[in-house]
Amino acid sequence: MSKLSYISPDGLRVDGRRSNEIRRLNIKMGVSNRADGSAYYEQGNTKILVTVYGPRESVNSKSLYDRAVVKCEFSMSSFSTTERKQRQKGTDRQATEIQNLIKQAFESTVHVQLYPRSQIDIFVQVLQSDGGLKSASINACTLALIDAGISMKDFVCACNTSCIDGIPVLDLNNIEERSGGPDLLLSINPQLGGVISLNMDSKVQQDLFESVLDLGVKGCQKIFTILSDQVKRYSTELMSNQQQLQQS
Amino acid sequence: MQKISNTEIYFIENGINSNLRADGRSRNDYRHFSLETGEIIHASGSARLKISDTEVLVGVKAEIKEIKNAQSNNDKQQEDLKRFIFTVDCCQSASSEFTEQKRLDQYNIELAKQLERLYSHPSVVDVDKYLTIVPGKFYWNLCIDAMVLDSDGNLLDALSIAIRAALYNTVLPKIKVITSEYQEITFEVSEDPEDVISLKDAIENVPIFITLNQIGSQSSFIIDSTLQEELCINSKLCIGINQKSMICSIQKSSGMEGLEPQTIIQMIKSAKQIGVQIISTMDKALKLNP
Amino acid sequence: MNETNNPISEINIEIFSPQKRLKLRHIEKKNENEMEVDTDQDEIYKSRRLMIPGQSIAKEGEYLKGHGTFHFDGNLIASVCGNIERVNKLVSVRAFKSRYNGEIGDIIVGRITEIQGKRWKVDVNARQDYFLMLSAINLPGGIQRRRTSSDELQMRNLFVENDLVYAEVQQIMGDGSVAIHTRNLKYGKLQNGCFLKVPSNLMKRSKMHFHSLDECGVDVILGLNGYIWIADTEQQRKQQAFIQKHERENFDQPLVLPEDHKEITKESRERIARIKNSISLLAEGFMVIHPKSIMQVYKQSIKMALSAKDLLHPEYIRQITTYLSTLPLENDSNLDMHEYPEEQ
Repeated sequence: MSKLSYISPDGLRVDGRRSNEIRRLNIKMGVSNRADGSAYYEQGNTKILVTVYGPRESVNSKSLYDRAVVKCEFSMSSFSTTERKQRQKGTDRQATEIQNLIKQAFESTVHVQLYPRSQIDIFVQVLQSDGGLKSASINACTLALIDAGISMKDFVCACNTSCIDGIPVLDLNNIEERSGGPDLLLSINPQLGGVISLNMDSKVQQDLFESVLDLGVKGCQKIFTILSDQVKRYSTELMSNQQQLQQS
Repeated sequence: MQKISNTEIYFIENGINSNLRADGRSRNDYRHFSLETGEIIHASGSARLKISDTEVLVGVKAEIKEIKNAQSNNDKQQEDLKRFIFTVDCCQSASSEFTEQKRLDQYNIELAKQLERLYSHPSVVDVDKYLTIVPGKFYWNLCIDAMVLDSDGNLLDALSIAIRAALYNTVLPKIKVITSEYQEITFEVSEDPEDVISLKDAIENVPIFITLNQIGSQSSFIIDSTLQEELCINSKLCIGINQKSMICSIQKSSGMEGLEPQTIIQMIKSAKQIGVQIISTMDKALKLNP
Repeated sequence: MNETNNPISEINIEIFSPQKRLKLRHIEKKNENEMEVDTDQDEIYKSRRLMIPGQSIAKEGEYLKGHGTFHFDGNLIASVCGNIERVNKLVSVRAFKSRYNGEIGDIIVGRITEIQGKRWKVDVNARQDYFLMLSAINLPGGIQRRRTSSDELQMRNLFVENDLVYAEVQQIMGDGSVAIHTRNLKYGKLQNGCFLKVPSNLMKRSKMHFHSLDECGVDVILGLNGYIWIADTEQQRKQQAFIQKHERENFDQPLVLPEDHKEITKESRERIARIKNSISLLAEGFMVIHPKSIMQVYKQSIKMALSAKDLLHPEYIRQITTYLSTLPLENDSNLDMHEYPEEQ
């Protein structure tokens, strides 16, 4: 595919979106009865299931006396990508990287000091992958942690942006990710402000970087609006069920 | 962590002896389950199965496999004959039993091997008809990857049913073989999404597992056990059954006690009845929802 | 051997294609009556009582910081998703769903996980295991005496790993660990029944947590931590009497319960199963669990001529949930008490 065809002259991308549009989000919270919190997250064709257990008694007694330990386990199904890939647990470097990314993002956002000597386990499972894996995982984890009722400062909303042919582009899919442009992963605390994680590979001019970053922040804010809406909907539903039958 | 005390075990055992389980089912009752096919677009076929809290997702991916030299050693030949490759991936969250990675890996391999044995007989899927591209040279290999999302017992049966449904859902692209003058073979893959080979009719003989768990007295065994019941198991027999109620595989695994041969015969009889019923119900349901 | 002659009941399968997916209980329910409820719900969820993490409640200093809130940059901010509650100046946000958090006097059911010197560790669905000290239990015989080192060696005779205990929260230590006790005749080891786990937020504090449901002859213990114990009333009474007699007369010998004291008839097993499934159904729909709501489901299932196992079927679950939602809603008396603080 030649580089030109990523964005059509009309400003439409390969999947028909405009440069500043994110893919359709489909969110379900509380999907697992056995976990403390869980969320199913679809962003376009990227599908992720996150389950959260805890805060609970540390298993391997590696607990800290003054705060909780956040642990993250990331796994990808072999059929999640277009090419089948047999993954070896423990040696998969991409998985390790994402695990650390999530762990760091949430250790700074969850009020870990409220849960001394316990651990919070986050399990991320990718059912299908079509770009934006890291950002989607972070968003899904936020939802699952909220579902688990774990105290946290704010949401963590993440989005990836890039720049193709000098045009800043939001929320890349798998094809666009391979365009070779700078891939910028940004996660922020949308309400309190503050960037939680930021990483970008490949080189880019500073003024272009500014516009890419700016678009990224807007994307995160947009995602936050959708997520908070869903969270409120879900809690309202739980609340209305709970109030039922409260006859004395 | 799912744990159970001795007196709870006693309660469950006695319930099973009197043919009434803790959730009100009798020994031969299967829980309601729901199947969903075609969810994973990146795979050639997929299915998701949910029995209570047990949830598995199966994806089938087809690969072209070339058989190089027929004269190579026997092991290699064996390997070449395999058209199905199984992997099972139980997520750690599926059961808190698997806190150690090593234990989990062992369990994954055990399940995958058991499924592989179920599919080992050549008549399971008509290879010549569905999976051959160039006889003796090129075949379709089906990589069947299962992911266990959550578990509330009866994992093996759930996996085998989901795999059967995923195969039903599988479509392979039509391939045109072009042989050049130097005997070189090139392929032309049909791009038309309508012009495909569906494995719908190929699953006729595909078996499923029925696991019978003997709990309590020697002659009382149950199907579709919950996680709590699985903690009380004396012995366990997995039987592969196909539509014609033929036995395709038997495995007595795990457990504290031995089984009387007489009980095994009894178990096989039950498994046949139940297996055939599940398969026929399943096929009927799948045909209604193409 | 009549196993093979047992009728095999209908096997239920549902097939979904990706287009018409109805997987989740709350989504499922919403789809059904999306039309009417939607506008209604919009109003509720835009209400200012519902908070999400990071949402600002008020300026710092106007209110006192309660649970589920924190100070940041001169503002008081919510840290969990839930309803805001105000008592005078104290503002707190209570999460809809979270792990159990013990308070002194709570009556709970727990499972022993470990035996340590002089104490047991007990899993109670909280963020860490609670402690049951050897000094916080009634020794067999009920006599008051000093705990000796031989008691310490015989701890396993009293409770072993995985045993269920019925206990009360005694004390919350400065470092956050919690001690429980069983120093009351009604507390102690739970035997010969079945155990069920539900979200702890569905349990309501009340004076009674042990309920003998007379209509069906089933005992339930609704632990505040979301652990529930269900057993047969008659069998439990017999068992209780035997244990008491044993402890009075020869508490030095290990307790062995005779077989006929453990027996439960098939009819009462069916009732236990029905109660168990009724509770699961309530938990599935995230509805409050108390004896009244349990009996509502129980009676409705009998009225619909369902057997206990039918309550596992999604279609019947849906029918009963719909029935329950038609029951009149009672005003939550708490709602009026805590009004939302005015925003400046």
